[in-house]
Amino acid sequence: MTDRLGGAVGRRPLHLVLVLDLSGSMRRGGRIQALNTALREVLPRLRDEARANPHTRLLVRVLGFATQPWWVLATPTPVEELTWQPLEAVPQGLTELGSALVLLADAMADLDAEAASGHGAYPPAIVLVSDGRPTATTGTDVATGMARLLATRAGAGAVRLALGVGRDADLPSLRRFIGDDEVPVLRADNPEQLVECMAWASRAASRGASMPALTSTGISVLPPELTGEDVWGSA
Amino acid sequence: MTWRAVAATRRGASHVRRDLPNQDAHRTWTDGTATVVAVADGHGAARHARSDVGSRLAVDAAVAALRAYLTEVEPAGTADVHHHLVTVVGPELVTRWREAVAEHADRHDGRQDAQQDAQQDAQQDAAADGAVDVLAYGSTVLALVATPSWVGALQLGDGEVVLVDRGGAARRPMPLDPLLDGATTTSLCQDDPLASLRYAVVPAAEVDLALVCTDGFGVSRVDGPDWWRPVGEQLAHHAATGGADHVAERLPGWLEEPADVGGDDVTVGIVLRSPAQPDERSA
Repeated sequence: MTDRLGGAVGRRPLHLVLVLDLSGSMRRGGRIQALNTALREVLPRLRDEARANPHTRLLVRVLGFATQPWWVLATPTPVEELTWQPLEAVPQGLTELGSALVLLADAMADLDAEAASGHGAYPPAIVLVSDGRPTATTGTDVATGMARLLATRAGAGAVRLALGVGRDADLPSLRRFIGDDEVPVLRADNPEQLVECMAWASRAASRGASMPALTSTGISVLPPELTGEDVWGSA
Repeated sequence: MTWRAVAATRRGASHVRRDLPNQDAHRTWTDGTATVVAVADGHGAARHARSDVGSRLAVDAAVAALRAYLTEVEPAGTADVHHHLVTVVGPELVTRWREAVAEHADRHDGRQDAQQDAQQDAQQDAAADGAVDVLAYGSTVLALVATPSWVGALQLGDGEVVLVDRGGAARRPMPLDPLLDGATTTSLCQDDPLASLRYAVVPAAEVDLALVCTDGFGVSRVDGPDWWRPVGEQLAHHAATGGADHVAERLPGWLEEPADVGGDDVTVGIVLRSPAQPDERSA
């Protein structure tokens, strides 16, 4: 019988949200195929990470965006139950990152409400992957989206990481998303690098979020040294 | 009737798995009249690689600062005590901790205890600047001091302070700190730690029992934001029915589940009413 003082204890959720650019440019040079491969290969590593941290319940969500944002996987899903279904990029789809951040902010607001009702989680981890310069044809630019995201407690406190795919990736926007000069923006120029980048981001995000520190990120996993050919280059 | 302090700690399951030390610390002290208990939580991130030392130095500094105050000052009332905690004890605590950190860093300069290259680089950069890498020692600190007239509390960083009144009702006496969001904590190693120190003082007659704990004790609670309330009230019940010895005996067992399930190090310090004891000075 458990010798308990106070109420029940349990594993605390750690939400990992993958925000993926599925715009038309991701169809070039096999980028979307590489992203699918990277995510499929990263999942077992994430499961290992979850097993190594049994005090956390790693829950994954996936948000895609092109001309519109949408939840590819809306339900926070235990990583142990997740199988990767290949994603398609949207032909001629734009890069409406600002709108995606607004949708993400709504989800973060839900986490705020859960925390207020006593169902607290670790600060979420968010990994953004994009290959191009954000567009704002809907009228919602990145600044607006970031403002909405940072207005939520969960969004502001999240461990935020970003990966660029190819030379056209808009690194200043990705840097802005991260919001911490000590956290590197990684850019993958070939499929192998993308796997390494995704593996690093997933591991760093899940560890950083479950390790409160004086600084906002607590990222302690060193980024990979990226080598190899520049396959994707510029458009 | 006097006050007695008990405390215990347990290394968190995640630290056991990663072969990391217990980064929490605790210390108790009494002169038979006044009683002090302090707990501290060294930060877990790699940037704070010496935080296990920092937390030990933090509880030492807290106890030393409070002992000095109790020896040198006779306050007139709780408002007087509060003023002294803010103007005397808090600054003394921070000063003692920083001095102890500097001394430790000086003695261990070049020691290869940092596990991350980035950490080593930061220490080397700090050494090159002639500065102490205070961040490496980052820690919270929480302390209770109980006298026949008043009970005081200090808190810097996350964790909880809980008071249980003579009727058995628990409450949190500290003002809320909006900087504590679960992702970050205020700390002794920040630029202006005094700005984040919080204080509370209440008449001793209102207090049956008080506890301080590191955040590891609450992180895995799933019974809502008021998880601390049944903890305090059940603890007071144990104290009332079994006495201080009973509480001291059971306390380590009560830490097992939060440390094993929650994963973080867990430390709890308690002051509770007890029949007069022989002079006890414990560490």
